[in-house]
Amino acid sequence: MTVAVADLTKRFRDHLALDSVTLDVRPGEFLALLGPSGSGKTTLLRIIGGLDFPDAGTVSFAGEDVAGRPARDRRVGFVFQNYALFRHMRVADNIAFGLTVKPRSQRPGAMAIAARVDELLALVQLPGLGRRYPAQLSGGQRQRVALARALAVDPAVLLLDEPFGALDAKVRNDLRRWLRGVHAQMGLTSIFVTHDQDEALDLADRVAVMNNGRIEQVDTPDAVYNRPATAFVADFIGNATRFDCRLSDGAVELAGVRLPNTAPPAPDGPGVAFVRPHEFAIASAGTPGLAATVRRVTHTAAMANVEAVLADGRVVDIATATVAVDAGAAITLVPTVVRAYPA
Amino acid sequence: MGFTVFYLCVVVLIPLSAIFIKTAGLGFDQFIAVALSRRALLAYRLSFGAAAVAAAINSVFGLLVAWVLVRYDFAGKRIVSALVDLPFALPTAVAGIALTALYAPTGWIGGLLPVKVAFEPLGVVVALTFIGLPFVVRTVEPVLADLGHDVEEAAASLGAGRRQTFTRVILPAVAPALVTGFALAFARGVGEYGSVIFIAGNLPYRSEIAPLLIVQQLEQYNYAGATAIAATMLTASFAVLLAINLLQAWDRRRMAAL
Repeated sequence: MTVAVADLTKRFRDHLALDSVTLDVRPGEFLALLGPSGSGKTTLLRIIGGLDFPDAGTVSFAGEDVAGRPARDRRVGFVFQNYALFRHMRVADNIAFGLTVKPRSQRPGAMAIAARVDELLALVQLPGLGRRYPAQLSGGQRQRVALARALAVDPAVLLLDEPFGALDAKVRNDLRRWLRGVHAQMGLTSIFVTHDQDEALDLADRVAVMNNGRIEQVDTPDAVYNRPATAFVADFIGNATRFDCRLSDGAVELAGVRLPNTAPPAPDGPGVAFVRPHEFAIASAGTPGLAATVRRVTHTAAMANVEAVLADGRVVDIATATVAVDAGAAITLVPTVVRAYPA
Repeated sequence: MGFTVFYLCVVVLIPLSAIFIKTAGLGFDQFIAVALSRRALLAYRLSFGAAAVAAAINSVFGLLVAWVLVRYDFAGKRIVSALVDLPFALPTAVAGIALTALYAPTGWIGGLLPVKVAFEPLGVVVALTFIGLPFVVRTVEPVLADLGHDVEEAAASLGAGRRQTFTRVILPAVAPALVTGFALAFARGVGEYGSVIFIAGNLPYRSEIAPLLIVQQLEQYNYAGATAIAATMLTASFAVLLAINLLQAWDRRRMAAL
C-alpha cells in the first residue's frame, strides 16, 4: 500500500518538529527514516501511525486521506522501541490482543484466534512460548513478540520505532536480517526509524535522511552514501571530515589542491568539503595538501588506520591499504575524492 | 533477617501481645459479654464496613487522581500533589472538625444535601474517605508512571477503544497496587479515631465506631474490657490484611511462575 505524506508540519511548543515534510513510500517498500535525535523522524512515524496529529498537511494510505483517523482505525502495525508489551498477559494473549478487541461481529472464534497465535509464534520463531509472560523472555524475544502482536491484525503498513535500539549488537544483526525476510514474506510496506546509519543502509530499500524537521534526501542506500545531496547528508553519513574550501568552475580548491567536485554542481564561491577516511592519500611533508602529524597507527585485517592531527588540532582518521609511516611523523594528507557544497 | 525480627518484636509484637495478655485476665464468659455484645458488634460493623466502603470509594477516585497526576501537565500540579498528602499531615481532629462543620445540617455542604451526613454512619464514611485518599494515590501513582504511555498507544494501534484499553490493559496492570492502596486505606480507616468522633455523632448502636467504644471502656477504668474489644478488632484486622497479602503473593507467584 502506498503511504504518502504531504506538507506535514508539527510544532511542539517552541520546537518545530516537522517542517512541511513530503514523502512517498511505495507499496512493498522497506523505508528507513534516518537522522540524529531531535530530527523529527519519530514524530513523522507517529503521525503516520495516528499516534500524533499534524498541525498541517495530509497523510494518505493508498490515496485515501487518513489524517483525521485515530490509530485504531488505520490498520497499522506499530512496534515500539521498548516493546510496550502487556506485562500482565501471557505471550499468546499479547499476540491475540488485536483480535480479541475487535467488535463481536468481526471477532474470530477462540479456536481461530488460537490457531492464528500459533501461526504467528512460528513466524517469529518462538513456538511453544505462548504461555510465558513477557518478563520471562529475552530482549530479542520480546521484540519478536511485539512484532507478532502487531502482525496479528494483518496490517497493510508496519511502522517500527527504533526496533533494535535496546538490543545488543549480535542479537540486533540477526533480528535485522530476519525482519527483512518477514517484511518480504508478508508483502508489507514498512517504515522504520533509526539513528544508526549502518542499520538504515544495511536494511532499507530507500533511506530518508532527516535533519531539523526536514527530509534532506530520499534515496537508495548506495546513492545516500555515494551521492549525498546536501552538506548535512555528506557530513552525517560515513564519518567524513569537514573542510572549508573554494568552489570554482565545478572544481574544489582545498588546501592548495584542485579536485573535481563529485557532489551536485554548485555555484562558485566559498564552500564546505567532505572527505571520508579512505579518500585521503598520505604523502611526505612539504607536498601540497593538509599538513598533519601521525598520532597513532592501528592495523585491521586488510587495512591500516592512521590517526593524524591537523595543524588546527582536529583529528582525522585515514584508512589506507599501505602504511609507511610511524607515530610522530610529519606528513601531508592529500584528498583524492571530495564532495563540496556551497557554504 | 535477625534485625527485622528484633525490630518487629519491639515495635509491633510486644505491645500487641500485651493486649492479648491483658485480655486473658478476663474470663471467657466475660470476654464474650464485652467483646461480642450487641453494641460492640454494631460498632465493629460500622468500623469495618465504613472503612471498606471508604477504601472502595478511594480506590476509584484515587486511581483517577493518580491518573491525572501522572498523565497530565497542568498549572498548579505540584500544589494538587501536595494537597493529596494533606490528610497524612493534618491532625485528624482538625479534619474531623472541618468535615463536621461542612457536613453538619447547617454547614455549607450539609445544608445543600438531601440526606443527612454528619452524625450518621454516612459521616463516618466521609471522614474515612478523606483520611484514606493519599494511601491509594501514592501506591498507584508510581505503578501508573512506570506503565508508560506506549502500552496505551500499542493497545490503540491494535484497534482497542478507550474502554477496552482501560479495562484490559491499564486496570489489570495497576490492580496489585490498587489492592495494596485499598488495604492501606482500609487499615487506616479501621483504626481511625480523631476525625471520626466529631462527625459521627457517636450514637450507640448507630454511629458509634469500635475505637470509640475502647476509649469509653478506658474512661470507666475497665482496661480488661477495652483490651477485649481491641483484641477482637486486632484479630479481625489482621485476618483481613493477611488475606489481602496472601492474595497478592499468589498473584505475584502466578506472574513469576515459569
